Amino acid sequence: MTLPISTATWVLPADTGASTDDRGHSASSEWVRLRSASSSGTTPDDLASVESIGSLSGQVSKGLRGSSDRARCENDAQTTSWYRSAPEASNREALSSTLEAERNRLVQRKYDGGGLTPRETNRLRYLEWTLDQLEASDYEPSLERLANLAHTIREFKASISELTTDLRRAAERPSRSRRQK
Amino acid sequence: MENWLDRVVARPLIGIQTLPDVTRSMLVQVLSPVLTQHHGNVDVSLGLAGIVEFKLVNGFTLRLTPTDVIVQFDYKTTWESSAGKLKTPVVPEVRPYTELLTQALSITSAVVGAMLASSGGSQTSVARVGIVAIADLDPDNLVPGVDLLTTHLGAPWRQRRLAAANATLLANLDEDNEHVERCHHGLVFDQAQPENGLKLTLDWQRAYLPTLPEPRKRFQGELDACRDRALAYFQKIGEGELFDDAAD
Repeated sequence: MTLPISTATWVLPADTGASTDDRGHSASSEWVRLRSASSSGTTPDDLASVESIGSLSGQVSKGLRGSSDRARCENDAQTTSWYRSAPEASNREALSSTLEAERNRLVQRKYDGGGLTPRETNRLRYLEWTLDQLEASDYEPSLERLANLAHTIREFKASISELTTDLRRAAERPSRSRRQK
Repeated sequence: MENWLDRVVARPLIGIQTLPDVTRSMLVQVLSPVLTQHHGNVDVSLGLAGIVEFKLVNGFTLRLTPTDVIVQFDYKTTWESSAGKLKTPVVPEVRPYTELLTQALSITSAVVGAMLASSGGSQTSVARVGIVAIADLDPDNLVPGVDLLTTHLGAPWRQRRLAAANATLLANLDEDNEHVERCHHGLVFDQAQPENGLKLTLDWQRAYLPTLPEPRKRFQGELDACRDRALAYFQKIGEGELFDDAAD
C-alpha cells in the first residue's frame, strides 16, 4: 500500500551516530544563538534577522530572570539518587517478586507440564533478562563502592611506597650533624 | 506498566506534524506555557529554514520547524572544576525511559495545546503524532526480542551473526478509516567498533488521513492513546512477540 503522506522520521542524523557539535546539531547545519539566559552576549544583528524576535527574546529573558537557581535545584532533585532511591527500591522489589513468581510458574510448566508454547518461551527469556537487569541494578551501588575502595587502597599503597622510598633515601644520606662530627 | 526500555539507557523524542505551517507569530504564544512550566534557563537558537530551538535546563529540547513540533531529551555531561586540578566530567544518572517520556509529553501537550488554543489555532490541524525511543544497547546483553531481530536479519547467512548493520525498516502496524499506525525500526551496530554498542531507534507514528478531526477537542486524548499504543508496541519488540512462531 502507498502511504498518503510522508514516511519521514523525526530522528536527526545526529541520533544515529553522525558527527555533531556539542549542541547536538549536525555539522552541516548553521545555527544562530539568539538569546541565552545563562550567557550575556547576543548581538543586535542576530536579533534583527528575525521578525518578532524582539518580543520573543523579551519574553524569554523576562520569564527567566531570577528563576535560574530554583530551576537548577529542581533539575538536581530529579537527577539525584537519594531523591528517588527509597520508593524505587521498594518498587523494584515488588516488581522482582512478581516477575520471579511468573518465571517460576513457567519453569515448572516447562519441565513438569509438557513444555511451553513459543509465546511462553519468549516470555520466559524476557523475564530472565529483566530479573538479571534488576539484580544488576541492586548490586550496582555496592560495586561502585567497592571500586571506589579499591581505588583508594591503590592510591594509599602508592603513597606508602613513595613514603618508604623517601625514608630510605633520607636514611642512606648522611645527615648534616653526622657529617660535622 | 513494566517496560524493558526502563532497564536500559533510552531517551524519548516526541514529534507532532502540524498543518498548515507554524507561523512565527505563534512562537510567543507557544513559548509562554513552556517557560512557565519549566522556569529555567533557555537557550534559543535560530537555524536555517526557520527552525527555532529552545534548550531547556533539564535536558529537554523543544524544536519548532515550519511543520513540526519536536520535543527531545538528551543526557548532558557537565564538568566539575576544583582549584589546581583538571576539570572532571560529571555523568548524569540514568533515568527510566517512561519517566522521561511523561515529561516530554507534558511539554508537547503544553506547546501544541497553546498552538491549537491560539487565535490562529482553528486553522491548525495535526497530521501525525510520533513517539520515539532511542536506546543504546550492549550487544552482549540484548533484550531477547532485539536479539531475535538481529538473528532474524542475519538468517540468510546461517549460524553466523551479522558483523555490522545500518538499517531502517518501516512497517505498517495497523490502520482504520481515520489513521495509519507504523513504526520505523533503526538498527546500527558494528562488531569492529564494540564500544559504540547497538543503537536501536523505534519511531512509532500515527498518521491521520489526512488530519486529526476536531484537534482542539481531541489532541490530548490522542496523545495519551498514542503513548499507550507506542509503549505496548515497544514492549512487544523487547519481549520478541513478533517472533513467537519462531521460538524454540
